[in-house]
Amino acid sequence: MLKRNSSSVELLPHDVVELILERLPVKSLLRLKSVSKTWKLTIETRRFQERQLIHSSQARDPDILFVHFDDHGLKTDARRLVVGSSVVYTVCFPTLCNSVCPCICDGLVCFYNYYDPSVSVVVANPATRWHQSLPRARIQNLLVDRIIKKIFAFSYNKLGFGKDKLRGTYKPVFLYNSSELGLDNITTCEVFDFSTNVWRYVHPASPYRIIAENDPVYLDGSLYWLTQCEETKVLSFDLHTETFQVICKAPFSHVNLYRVSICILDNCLCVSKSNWPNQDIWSLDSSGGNIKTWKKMCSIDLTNTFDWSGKCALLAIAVLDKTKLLLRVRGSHHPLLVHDLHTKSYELLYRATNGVGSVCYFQSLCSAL
Amino acid sequence: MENEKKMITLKSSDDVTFEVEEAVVLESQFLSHLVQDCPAPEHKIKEVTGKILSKVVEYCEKHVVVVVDGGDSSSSSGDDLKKWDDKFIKEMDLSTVYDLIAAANYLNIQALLDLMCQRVADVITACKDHKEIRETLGIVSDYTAEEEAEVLKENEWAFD
Repeated sequence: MLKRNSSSVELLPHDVVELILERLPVKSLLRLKSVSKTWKLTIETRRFQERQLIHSSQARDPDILFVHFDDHGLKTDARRLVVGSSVVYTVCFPTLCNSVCPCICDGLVCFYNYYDPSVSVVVANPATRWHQSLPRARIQNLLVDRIIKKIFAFSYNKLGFGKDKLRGTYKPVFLYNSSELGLDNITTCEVFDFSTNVWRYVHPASPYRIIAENDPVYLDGSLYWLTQCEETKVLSFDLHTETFQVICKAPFSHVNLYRVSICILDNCLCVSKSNWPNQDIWSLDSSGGNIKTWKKMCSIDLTNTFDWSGKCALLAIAVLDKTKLLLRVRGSHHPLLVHDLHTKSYELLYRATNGVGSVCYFQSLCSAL
Repeated sequence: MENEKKMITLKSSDDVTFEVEEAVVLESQFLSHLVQDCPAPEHKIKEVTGKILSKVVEYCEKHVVVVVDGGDSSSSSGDDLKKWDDKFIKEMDLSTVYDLIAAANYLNIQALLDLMCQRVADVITACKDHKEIRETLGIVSDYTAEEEAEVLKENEWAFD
């Protein structure tokens, strides 16, 4: 018999030991797997992983992931860049993925490419380095085919990603306007099923064309897009029921597609519209049940961002420290800016060659399986 | 209101008694149910020793005072409380910390449980490797040498 130390943590009930472990960051927990089999088993259970995620998301602001690509293998570094309680990590992925999906769910990030035949969609957890490549979606095959046949009609096809909260399953989703691709119906929707490892169509897809230049966003079990109509609307896709629904009108209409965006700030659905040199951000107040109202959250002056982004609108990524707005420039290495809402100043937080985007996330131990 | 300043006696497993105000007892979910369901003047807590119960009472008395006083100067009293908490745990050995965790868990005092769990988490963070963690926390490894090498290799990159 092994003799137990009289003051051992193992004398505590194991659910209490879990309360201690869930306070530790992901990297520490990976190291702690080598302490004992019991600890390894605990750290690898989904229930513990979910609790650890809840704990870390309540304790501080999210971290920031700056994604770039080169050939040196999967690497995650914590740059010595800190905004309030948030740390900027850079993740480098050794593939030709040219896009990162801004829908972050349980610390999982999707990288993809919509026209290169060698890549499909990669779902990854940058904190644990778990990752899985998915087979190419039909839309990806279709675009590759067209490129081979030298049909270069341009079409954006942005990936969405989220979780069916009732079943606890993750779902990558492509929603695209059909007419550019010579397909029937107004839009086409494909959902990836991890249990069968195939993409399948969802019928009916969105009844309205979407603003395909924008990335969709994920919030609380649903994905959201803006529609491309005279009166811009907010479209939702419930990841459990797999149904589309218009939830409300946007607080603007007749838009220039490049000047509007949809984002999640402080767990609220937000939309933004720019009219150089001003950019307005509204957040959706759903506290009145079905009566949804837009509240102007802030109006920012873009004059001093000209050197980074020209006259383009910026993409809001997060509110940090309650007063700092984290913004991403569209295109050209996607530099990351911090805007102080009080002093109205801008600061370049990070820029790197081959940058493809930044997302906010809480590190987790989760995998998509 | 008629219960104001009502005193209650708590008796530890080794028969040490503590006379405390009812408000102090209400910091514990377990004791507040006990006091409501069975309005005796004295309650025996068989699971907790006198040494640990004195710490629990000390913690609850400090925290209950601040809640009562804290109406208008909550931020400074919040800081004071944090300083007090830091001092409270600073010189405490791990064996006492474990006993307090067990007591806070049993008596259902969430803030004390959080404080103590964070203390152990901080101790773990300060350790340089898994061997030091085992030694510090008194954990006996159930890995064979081969199994341990394999797990270490799997997560090697997390050690840099």
